[in-house]
Amino acid sequence: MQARPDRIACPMLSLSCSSTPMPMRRKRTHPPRRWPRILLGLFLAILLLATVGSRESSLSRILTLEGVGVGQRLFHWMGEAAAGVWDRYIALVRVREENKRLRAEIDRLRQELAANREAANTALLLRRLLQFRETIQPPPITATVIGRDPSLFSATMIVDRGATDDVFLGMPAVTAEGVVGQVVEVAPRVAKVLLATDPNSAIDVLDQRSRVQGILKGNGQNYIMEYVLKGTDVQKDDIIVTSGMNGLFPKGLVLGVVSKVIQGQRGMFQQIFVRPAVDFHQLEAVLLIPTERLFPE
Amino acid sequence: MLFCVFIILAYVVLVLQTTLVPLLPPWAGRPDLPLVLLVHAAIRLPTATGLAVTLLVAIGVDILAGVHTGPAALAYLALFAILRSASGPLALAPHQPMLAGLGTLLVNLAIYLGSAILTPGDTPVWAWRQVLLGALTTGVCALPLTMLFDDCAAWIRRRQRLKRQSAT
Repeated sequence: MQARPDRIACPMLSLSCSSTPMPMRRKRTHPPRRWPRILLGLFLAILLLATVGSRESSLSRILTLEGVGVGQRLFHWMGEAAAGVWDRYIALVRVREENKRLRAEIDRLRQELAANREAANTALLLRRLLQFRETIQPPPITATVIGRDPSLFSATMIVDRGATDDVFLGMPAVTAEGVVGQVVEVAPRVAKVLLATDPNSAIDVLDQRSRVQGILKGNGQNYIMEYVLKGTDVQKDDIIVTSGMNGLFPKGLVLGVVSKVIQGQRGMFQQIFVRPAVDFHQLEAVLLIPTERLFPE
Repeated sequence: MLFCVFIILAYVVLVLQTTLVPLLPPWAGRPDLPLVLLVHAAIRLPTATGLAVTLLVAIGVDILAGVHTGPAALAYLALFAILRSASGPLALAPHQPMLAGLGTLLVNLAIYLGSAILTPGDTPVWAWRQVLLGALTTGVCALPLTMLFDDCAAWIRRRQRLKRQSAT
């Protein structure tokens, strides 16, 4: 065993920090109880092995989604509350003493304006969602985004509606701007939505102008329309909509606009790049459309 | 006690990673906070506690990320095994930010390769800029987090020592 100093100078952090995981241990009078931790470790390892490669909603997945969902709800609520505190009070701290009253007045008016703008934007967003909602039959379920994907290579999000709100696997998630994705996992009070920009997403689409069909796949940030033969009529700025062919998405929902078409030298198909209609970074609420149940629960 | 506190920390880190971190602007990168905890668990905690914390974080990240389970959890466990086997010379606190940054690169590479093997037609795009920025910001975030984790562990051990002394 290598002897380690108890505390060392830590130049990177400019302070001293503990160098060992355990200080010099005294002799124990009784053997340490490691069995519970080892058993828990074994249990978790078995749980992990059981979930590898699985896409089914097992108990462990539901428990994790539900458990983390509670924290995400709490954090979402705290974030909104903190933003409110920031807008109302903390912005006033920097006001100078000599024109305190005037600046406070300006700040108050500015805050009111910002709050009114925020309220107007929210109202606009909700009105558009409501107008869009009224066009869909049966009425969709409104869900708030409470969490997002922790990985660099996948695009999913967690919404605050689950099986108790009649959310089921495969439900399309949309906004007034266009398609967001589809539900891939459902827990009692939360659900996971696979965004259309995820590499695992594939949606049957058509060009709204020329009616040319293809498969729209995600590449992380944008879409690529695949399996469109060379010579078919797809042009820049064409709008791409769902074809309704697979029965999952209703026909005619907007996905994006063609940003680039490449007719390569090799291969049978064109390379078509599509810019998403939805700004996935700004998503706050989505509508879950109760279509036909295509997947068993 | 140490175990319970680090399980709570793992939960908090998972919630932060799925709520606060995605709100950061793209130019700020995307730090991998669970990985910072994993590095700490691998080189600073006792084996049983470290492994339990790592397994919980790995399962959590795996279920919350993407649609395929497996690659993220296995990558996290492999990193734990590598760090644990080399933890003798690496057990110093100043090494943790560098290890967290390097670990982010390795884990992302492993997840990318795992996804490419599991779903050859749906391979994600490897973006060097995002990956390197993520590694850098993970290293930067590891500085305060490492201090927090160390202070937590030190406080718990102090309490345990005092309890033992008062018992004797």
